[in-house]
Amino acid sequence: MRLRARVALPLAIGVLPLVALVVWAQGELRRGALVDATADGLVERMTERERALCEADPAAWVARTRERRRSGPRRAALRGLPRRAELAVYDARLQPASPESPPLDAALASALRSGGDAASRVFGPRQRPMLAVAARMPWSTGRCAIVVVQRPYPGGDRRGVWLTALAVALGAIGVAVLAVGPVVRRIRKLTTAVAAGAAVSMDGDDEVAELARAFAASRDENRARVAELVARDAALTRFVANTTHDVMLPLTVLVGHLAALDEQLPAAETTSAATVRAALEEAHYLTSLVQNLGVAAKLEAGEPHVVWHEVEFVPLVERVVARHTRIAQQRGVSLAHSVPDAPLRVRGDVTLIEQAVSNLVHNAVRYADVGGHVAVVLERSAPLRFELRVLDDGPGVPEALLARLGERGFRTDEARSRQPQGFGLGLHIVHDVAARLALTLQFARATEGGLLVTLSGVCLPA
Amino acid sequence: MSDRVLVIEDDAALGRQLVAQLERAGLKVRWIRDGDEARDVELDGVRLVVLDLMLPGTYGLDLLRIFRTRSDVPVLVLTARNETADKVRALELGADDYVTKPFWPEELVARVQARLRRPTMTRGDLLRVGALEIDLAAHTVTVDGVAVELTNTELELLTALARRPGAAVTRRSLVEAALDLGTERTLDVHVSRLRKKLPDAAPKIVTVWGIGYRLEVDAGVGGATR
Repeated sequence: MRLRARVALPLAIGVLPLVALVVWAQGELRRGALVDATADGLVERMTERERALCEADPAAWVARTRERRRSGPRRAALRGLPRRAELAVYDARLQPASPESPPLDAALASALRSGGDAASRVFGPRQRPMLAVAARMPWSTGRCAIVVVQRPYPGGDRRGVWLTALAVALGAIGVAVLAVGPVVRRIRKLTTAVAAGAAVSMDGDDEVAELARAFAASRDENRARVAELVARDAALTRFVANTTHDVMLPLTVLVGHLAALDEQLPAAETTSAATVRAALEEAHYLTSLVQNLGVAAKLEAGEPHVVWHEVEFVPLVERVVARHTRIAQQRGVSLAHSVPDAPLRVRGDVTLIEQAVSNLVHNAVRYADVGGHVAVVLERSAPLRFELRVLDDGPGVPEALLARLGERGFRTDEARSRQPQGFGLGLHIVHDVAARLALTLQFARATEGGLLVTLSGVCLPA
Repeated sequence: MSDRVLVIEDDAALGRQLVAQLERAGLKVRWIRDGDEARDVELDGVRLVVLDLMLPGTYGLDLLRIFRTRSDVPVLVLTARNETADKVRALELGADDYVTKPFWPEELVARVQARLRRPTMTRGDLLRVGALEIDLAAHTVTVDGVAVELTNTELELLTALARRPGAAVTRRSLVEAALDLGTERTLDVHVSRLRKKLPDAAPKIVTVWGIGYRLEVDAGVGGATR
């Protein structure tokens, strides 16, 4: 609900009944005052002489009194009663004092019987209401113990008063709504500034200005906090990059030493050769792990860390295959690849794609049997589509588990028993990279019995 | 032209290894350890530069920029920061390829050889792989100068393989290149006949599991020309 409605509605709900109550109470007070004045006037007028005349002949007294009021001097005739007032008298038992007097109104009679000295009732048409006032005389015997006067009652028609009250109430609501206008404008200005992230400043010392100052303070605090987090993230990224750099160099040298040692060992030294090759394999795994952790951190960091550019896919595949050639050889696995003669470019992030392809080849080589095969094929499957297939004749993966291969931490029982040191990060990264770069990743059982992984997507024109 | 490779790497241990690995691959190597020293190096006669990015003195990318103002020599960048932005920047500045540390000796040598093996055109209509020579204009094949009679399909198959000697060629590519109406099954029949017709001195047609076939050549730089 808008602010103006919030102000107008409670006012309507609260003010209208209040004005009605005041109008009603005012009417009741006026009527009470008029009844009291009329009753007092009757008692005052009923002197001993008037009582005697009334007691002697109530009908004649009523007629004479009416005549005197209509034709006599104004001051004497009125004494608190209007000219059009009609009188009637009743005895102490509330019976008419003369046959001309009508029976006493039941409501008035009831009120008098309950002990009151005066009673009143409004009656007649709404346009010309009448007020009947019954007054008990200071005596309780005789035929003129109760005098009733019926007089016009202009205050009985309260339509004008009600209309005035309603107009006042509506006017008050209108004024309130108009008064809220500047506040609404200030709040809107504040909302626009906050939404735009702009500096929030508001003149004055009202609540809106206080709110603006609170927003400004909160904004400054949040900015400082974000800046602190960004700085911390940058420091952490630098730390990881520097650490990675520091790890990569000795790892490269270590790999080189091991490779040289492997080549220099005489064929007869089978034990030493086996040790060196085991060390080479561990070093290979370690390099892959370090690269994967770097890429996983990049993926976790989200879209801003993905650098979109044109990736040359052919040298990428050649690099990956070269990286795994020695390990494949020493495991007795044949690793072959085929790439198109012409350049094949895709839009993506070379680091992510290279690590994804590397993980696929690494996986295929690691889980292949001795004497097994791994084939990596990159080709243009349509003018604007590429397909990369990594195929092996290893143990494969049961059909029911193929869909779970991209899950983080998922490893088949076969994988656990063959390579206990892995923790299922490699294929998850492939899955994540494919999703991030809008590539399609499919796992299938190869006709040769092993696993066929296909990574496909859009490529640039040749 | 000499096979001289210029290595610019500040780390002593890695530098020694790079030199040894490239020399084992039959290349002559010159090693420079400092970026400032490399700024004014003579690039004439250098066939390829292996350039580390994190160098004391002049930074690797700055060196690359300097090299590109005066030479088109292929540059292979070594980077330890596995950051895409660095690689893209290097390629934009004119690097031809990169290798990310940690790399394997054969990975580096393979990339160097791939750059050095860029085919050189001798005659547009002649393919030569070892003892095998294919005259594309005359549709003739000789091995050590002795003519070999082949059908059109066999000639197309051999040509498709010889165009990329040493590289595995997919069955699909071979079918598209040589068989108008054939399938991958008939491909095997044609290859089998071709193998029988080629004398022992000719390069061997090797089956590559999961891919197709490859025309085998002796390992080494510049194994084929055309």
